[in-house]
This record gives sequence, structure tokens and C-alpha cells, in this order.
Amino acid sequence: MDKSFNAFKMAQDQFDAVADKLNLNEASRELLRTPMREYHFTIPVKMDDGTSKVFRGFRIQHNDALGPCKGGIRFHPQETVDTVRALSMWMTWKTAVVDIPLGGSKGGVICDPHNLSAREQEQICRGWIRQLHRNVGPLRDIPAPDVMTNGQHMLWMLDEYETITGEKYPGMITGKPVGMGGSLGRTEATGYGVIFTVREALKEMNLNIENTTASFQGFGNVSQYAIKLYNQLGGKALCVSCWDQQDQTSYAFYKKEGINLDELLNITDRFGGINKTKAKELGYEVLPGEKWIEIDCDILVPSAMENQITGENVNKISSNVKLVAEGANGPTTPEADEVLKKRGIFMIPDFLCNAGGVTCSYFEQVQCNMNYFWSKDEVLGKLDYKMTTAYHKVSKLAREKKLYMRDAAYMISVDRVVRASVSRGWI
Amino acid sequence: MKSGQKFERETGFFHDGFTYIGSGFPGGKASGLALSQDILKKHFPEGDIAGMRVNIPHTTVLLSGVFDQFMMENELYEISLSDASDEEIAISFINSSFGGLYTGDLYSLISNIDQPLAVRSSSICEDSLNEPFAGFYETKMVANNQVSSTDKFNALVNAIKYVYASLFFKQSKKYFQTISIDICEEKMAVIIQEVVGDQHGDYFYPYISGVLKSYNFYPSEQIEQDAGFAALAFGLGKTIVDGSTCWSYCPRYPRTPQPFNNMKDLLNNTQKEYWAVNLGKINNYNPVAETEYLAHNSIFDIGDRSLLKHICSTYDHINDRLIMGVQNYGAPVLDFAPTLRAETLPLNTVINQIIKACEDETNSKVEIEFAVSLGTTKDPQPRFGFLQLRPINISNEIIDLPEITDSSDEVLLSSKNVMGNGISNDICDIVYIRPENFDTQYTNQIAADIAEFNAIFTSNKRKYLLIGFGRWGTSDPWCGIPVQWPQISNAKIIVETVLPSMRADFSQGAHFFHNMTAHNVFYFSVDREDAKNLDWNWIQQQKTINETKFVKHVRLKQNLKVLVDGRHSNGVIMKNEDNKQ
Repeated sequence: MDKSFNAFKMAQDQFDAVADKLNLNEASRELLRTPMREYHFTIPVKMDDGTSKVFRGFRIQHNDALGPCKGGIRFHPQETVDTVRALSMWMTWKTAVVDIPLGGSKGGVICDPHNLSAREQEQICRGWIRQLHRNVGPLRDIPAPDVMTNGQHMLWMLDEYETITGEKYPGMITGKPVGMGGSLGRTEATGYGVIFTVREALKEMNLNIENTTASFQGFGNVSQYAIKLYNQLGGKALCVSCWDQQDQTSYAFYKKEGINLDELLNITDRFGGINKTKAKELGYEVLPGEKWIEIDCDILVPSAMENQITGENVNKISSNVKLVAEGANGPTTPEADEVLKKRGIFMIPDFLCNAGGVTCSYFEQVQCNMNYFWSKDEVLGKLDYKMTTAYHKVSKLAREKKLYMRDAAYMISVDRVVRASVSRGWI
Repeated sequence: MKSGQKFERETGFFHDGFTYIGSGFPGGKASGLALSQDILKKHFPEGDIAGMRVNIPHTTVLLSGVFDQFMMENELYEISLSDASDEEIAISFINSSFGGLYTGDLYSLISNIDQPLAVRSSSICEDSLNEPFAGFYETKMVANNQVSSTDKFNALVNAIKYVYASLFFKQSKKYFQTISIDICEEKMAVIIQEVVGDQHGDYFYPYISGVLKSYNFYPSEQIEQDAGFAALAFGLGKTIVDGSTCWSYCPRYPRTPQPFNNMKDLLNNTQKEYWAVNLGKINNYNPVAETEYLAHNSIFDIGDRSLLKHICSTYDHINDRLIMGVQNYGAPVLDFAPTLRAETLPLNTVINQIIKACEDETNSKVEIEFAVSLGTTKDPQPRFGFLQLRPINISNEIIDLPEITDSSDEVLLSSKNVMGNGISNDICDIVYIRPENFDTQYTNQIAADIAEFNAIFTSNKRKYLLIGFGRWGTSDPWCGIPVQWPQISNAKIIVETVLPSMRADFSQGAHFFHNMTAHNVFYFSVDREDAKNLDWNWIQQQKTINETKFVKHVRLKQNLKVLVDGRHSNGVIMKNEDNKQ
């Protein structure tokens, strides 16, 4: 990752541009360009080898005008507070654009789970809650899994929270395993949500999805389910890139006839890394990771990390690409955005495109609060309905006002949050 | 799909004509509906016949690709092909998911509808002439009046999954075995269709449901076979399809009195119960039951009798006569006289015009299912909803019967009421219900016994002659033998006869007869007079192969000779001389 890249600055720049378009007053700008609350703390952990180690944790609550904050917890060795700030802001826009009654937050711990035992990770989770239990909860801020955290981490956190409070609050956290307060359909939600928006965009562009091809960056949960649904709809995924833990670099796996999701999943490790040797045996070309963006296809789906389509590589995008669907948060820099805009490449912005995850998390919280759980069809049916409705709301505004899709989405989100803040008498 | 357009969420369910979801095939029933729509548009472009609105109900078809996707995604073939019970299979289907492809469309579809829906199978094999599957798969009505979209959505998807599951129910599996087709080759599309009808309190139902056949397999002496036949019922068409009591008449001669012996006979054999969609409280939530959202009511419980003004006469018990229409006294009798005789509704005019149009377009005799609603105060125009169109298979081979007399020794039985056409020389097995032990209270057990015998014939690839009492295929165990088609699928010749204690009223159950026609089964209806000549003694002298308390299987030394003259509905089953003991 580019060390000079500052995600928070990028998020603020994006916001400032929208604030200008909406002609927001100074108070609104002040309120929304910085988080409302930040928690920075340390988490001391007794390691398996008997030593003690202190980890740094964060929770940034950007805005809760629309409802309790909502956002994931990331375990990452290169985590920075500015990244978490940016992500918390994006969460505010994301919950607002899909019109769910939640605010935005994000948390993280600087650590590398690859080098930690399960017990050590559990201690980090419990320590994180011990530091924050007064500031999170079903009515304040609802965490969820994010980069390198999963349902098990959420359960440890829930257990610690319930131990401290002495009450059962299954809606305190989302992303829990099914049967332990988790929602059916949560695993698929983000990836499916990406493709729900792609499907609608292609319809508007008069493109038959069955005649399209796509390249995906990342082979985690989002890409896997996005590719699955994209294939089911008749699209052909040509390439997928992933991080190789052993080589500490990424590779792109390309097959002209289309990748076979099931065969790739059979040779993928638990972190989403595809076995190169076996992939070659199966007829895949193994390319450097950054090549995913150069594939001659119709659709690019960056679903890995932020800052992936930049001023440096944006011109490597094939002239045949017609659509970028941002499965990850903040994968396109403003500089690259300008190029895409000029080239007329249709953009489904991150906080709309990948909002399926938070929408399903919202469903999970609703189910937990009711203590009544829905069928998978019900979850996915509502998810599709919600995502499609949100997409068309943004797309309609973009068409009517001749806006770039990202700008239209921002305008809807920021407007909703500003209105809620005004209604509450904050500004 | 012919005549259809892709389902769009913006336009939704209430679209002019068909919409479809997914890819693949529409199946036989949906194709029949599409053809019906084309016929209506061509022949009745105004959508109106004699003041009655005529159309296809709003319909969305889930094409067969949705079924394929559902089966694959949920890996359902393993349990589907196992020996699991029907209920276990249905529950497995209901617990499975449509995944991300179609749930959004279904949620969107149901969110904007608040009227009852019928979820009907439309399989690739169903309704085809070569291999009939009519009535094998389940249809489920959903009330769709819940306040929450979520509840409506769940009821709809559960109904779809139930219809899917019915492909793998026991009777269906047996049938596939019988016809030697791999059940995995079958593909199921599903029709989601508006129920034609009106709301009356807690119930929703059509005013009249009907099945028309433009060819009558049981014409009376004065009426030609091609004059057709219609069965009418008050409420949902389930009454007719199940073979329950309804009103039958000839559309060419709607005023011709029906052959009842006396007033008591008529009173005993007119419809007294009807099916409706239950919009009230559901007492038995059961997603694996076809009747979950249905109610079976008595017509005598209808509060406002004036509702029946187009379909009933009133029994004047003092004078032992019927007075057309609803009167302030006396019991209502559903003889449809106001509509058929006084033409208070132009139903018969509509029926005749539609039959002609369909015959012209399909170049064959046809069977049509329909439902009529009276309309509302706001929109009082009655409506004829066209629900299904099927061609009828009629053999054209000319068969001349030998001159025989009733007392002729070589005749096992003869009848002037026979369905089918042709000659059979390959039957030497007879399965019959033992007259000495027959009692209508045991008909369910008899049906089960016959199914066991049929299974043996199926595995041995042998055909047989089946003789029994009362209606075959009735849903009312007091009227005859309540078998499903697969339970007698290897019967090549079926004889429906009577005992002195029974009334001879032969079945026109739509699906049951469609199956028999398409399989070229010879169906002998033996009335009380002919039954006297049925040579029971001779049958009972034959070699017994297998028997239960109620059913016996005997085998002859030589094959029977069976001749059926379809032109005149005459038939005869001849003993072979060598069969004499």
C-alpha cells in the first residue's frame, strides 16, 4: 500500500466536494467532516509464551444522528487511526444511502492474527470490550466483523459484554455464527449485494449480463459470493486476484474461458489465498496481482482493500471496461475517479455497492432484538429489495442532476444525515 | 416464453399478460395459458363476450431454470430420490433457499399484491399428450392477506417449494417408474396466478368454477359426443378436479334436464359444500398441506342466500318441486338453472364461443378450466377467467363390434358407455374388487390393496383388467374407490360398475380422465342393467394368483379380446373359449 496515502484525507475531500454541491453551512461541515467520538486505548495480553504484549485499539464513532453507530472491527498490522476514521465516515454514508436507521463507526486493533493463537486473539477481543463496554452496545454502537475478524471473534466479544453487564444482549454485535444469534444470508450478503447493484446497472446500460465478463480483485468472502451470483446470472468472471500469505504479495489468476469458482475454492486457504501450483495445473495463468486491473473485460470489481485504483494504474484499465463496482471500501482514489469519470466508465460507489453487508447486519440486529429469526430467503429477498431500491434512488438522482454516481450517492447520504442532525437540533 | 415478458419490479405482477422470472422452459400448463391468451386476443380482441369480461388472470411464471437452480444450490436430489416420506421431502424443500437470484423478484412481486394467489405446477412433462402428468403435482392457494410483506413472502416461497417438492412425492415417483422415464429429466416451472373470485366475509372464491370438454366420453342417447360436456361448481375448482359432486351439463343443450331418477336423487346429488380461500384465522398452520389456506364450507352456511341467485333453485318440499332462483323458504339446490336456462349470466354463450375458438386454433378437441367472478359494486361486470387449455387425445381408428347378445356366453361384459377406441388382445390378468366383501366404508383400504397389486404389475411389466364399484379416482370414499392414477397405472382396461345399493353416477374427474385418455386406457362404465350381465361366476372360477380380503387377482389361460368403438362409445370384452374351466 502507498505509505503516503491517507484514507481519512480522501474521505474528507470527498465530503467537502459534496458539501459544496449541497451548499452545506459551516456547522454541518464541521460536524460531519470529523468523527463525533474517538476512543484510543491499549489492550494488554498475556501471550502463550508467558510474555506480555500491549496492543493498540481504536473505536471511532463518526455520527449517530440516524441511529446507533454501526461498523466493523479490523485486526491488521498496518492499521492506522486515520484509516479507521475514514472507514467510520464511510459507514455513516453507507447506512444512510441504503436508508437503514443506523450511524457510522469503525474499530480496529493493530495486530496480525496470522501470528496469534486463538487464545491470544480471544484475549484481544475480550480486552477490547473491557475497554469499551460503556460505549458500545445495541443502543449505542454495534460492532461487526471486518478485515481478519470473524464470527468467533464476535462471539468472544459478545460473551465478554454480557459477562460485564450481566444481561443477554444478542443485538449488541453482529456477524455472529448462525445458531448463536447470527443471521442466515449474512455470509453471502456483501458479495450478493455487489452483484444486485451490478445487475441493475447493467439493465440501465442496456447490457445483457450474460454477455459480460468481469475481473475481481480479492478472493475473500465478498468476491467469492459476488462471483457466485455473477456466474449464476450468466456473467463470466475471467480473473481474480488474491493475497499470498507465504509470498507476502498478491497474484492474479486468469482463465480466458472463465474461472471456475468451485475448483478455485477447493485450492484456497482460509485467508482467501489460492494455491498457485494447483491453479496452474487447472489451466490458470498466474499473473502478478496488479494485473487484475488490466484484464480486457466489461466489469471491474475491486473487492480487496482501499486505494487500489489510483492515478498510477487507472490508465491501464482496458478500453472495454464499462463498469466499476466497488466491492471494497475506498478502492478508488479521487484522482483515479476523475479519469474514470472522463472515460465515461460507470461507477457504483463503495458505500452503495458493498452496503449489502451492513444491511444484513442491520437485519441480524433486528432479528436479535426480536429474538425471532428469519429464513434465508426472507433475508436475501429483503436484501435484494433494499439494495435495488437504494441503487435506483441514487441512479435516478445521478440521471436527473447529471451527476457522477459517487456524487449522487454522497448527496443522498449526506443530505439524510444533515437532515437528521438538524431535526435533532444539533446544527 | 411465448406471449410473455420478463418480470420487472417497476411494473410488478399486475402486468398486461404474462411475465416470467428466470430462464428455461415455461412447462405445459403455462404454455397452454400462453396459447389461450393468444387465442383470446385473436378472437376476442375487446376482451368481452356477451357482456362478460374474458381474460387470463394475472400470471407470473417461474421458469424451469429457477427449479434447476434451486435443486442444485440446495443439493436436494439426494433426499428427493430417497425413500423419505412426502412430508420429509416437503420440509427439506421448505427449509432450503432460493439463494440470491430470485428472492428479490419474489419479494418485490408479493409486496404489491394483497389478493389470494394460486401457485400451480407447470412441468415440462405435465399436460403433454404423450405422457400425461395432469393433477400429479400439487397446487397451493395462498391467502396473501397478511399485513406484513414478510409473512406474505414466506407463504409464497413456501408454496412454491411445496409445489416443487410434489414432483418427488411417492405417487409421482411411482408414475415415473411406470412410464420408464428418469424423474431427474422432469423440470418444473411454477405459475403464480391471481385467484379469480370475490371476497365474501372471511372467504374468497370464484362464483362458478368449471371444466369444459369439447368431447363427451359419456354422452346420453340424445346427445352427440362432440356436443361436449361441462362441469360447474360453486367456489374453487377443487370440487370438480377432486371428482366431488358438481353440476354437469352439455353446453350445446344447456336446458336439457339431467338424468336424475327423481327429486330425491337430484337433491342427494347436487353440490352442498364448496372450497374457498380462507382469509380468516388459519387454524392449522401447515406449509406441507395443500389445503393450508383453504376452507371447505357448507352452502347452507352462506348467510346471504341472494348470492346464489344465478346458480340455484329452491326446493319446495310441500309440492316436491324445484323453483328456479332463490326463494324465501326452502333449501337451495345448486342446479345452475338461472344461468343455464334463464341466462341471467351469459356463461353458456361465452363457453360455446370459447370452445369454438380453441378448437379452431388447436385443431383438436379441448379441455378448458375456468373461473367466473361476479365483480364488485365498483366494477360489477362479471368476469370469465381462463385458467387452462389442454387438447384431448381421441383415437381415430374405426372399430366394428361383432353382433352380440347380452346372453351370449362368450361375452364377459358389454357396455354402451365406453371411453377409448381400439382393440386389445394382450390382457390375461384380472384384478377385481370382491363383490361379496365390498362395502363403501372400506374403499380406502381397497385403494391401498389395489396399489399393492399394481406395484407388482409394474415391476413385472404386465397390464391388467381392473373391475370395481363406484367411481374410480373419486376423492369421496363413499362414492367409489379413491385411487390416484399411479395406483392403477398398469391397468389397461378399467371397468366401473355398480352394486344394487349404489347409484350409477360416473366420474368426469378432470385429471383422472385426462390421464386415462392419454394412456389409451379403455374405460367401461357398466350401468345397473349391464351389470346384471357381468359374468361374476366366470371370473371367480379363474385361477387365483393373489388376494386380500377385498381384492383378488386371477389369471386366465388365454388373453381376453377387447373391442371398443369410440365413435359410438360401445365396447365389449370377450372371454376366450380356452379360458373355460
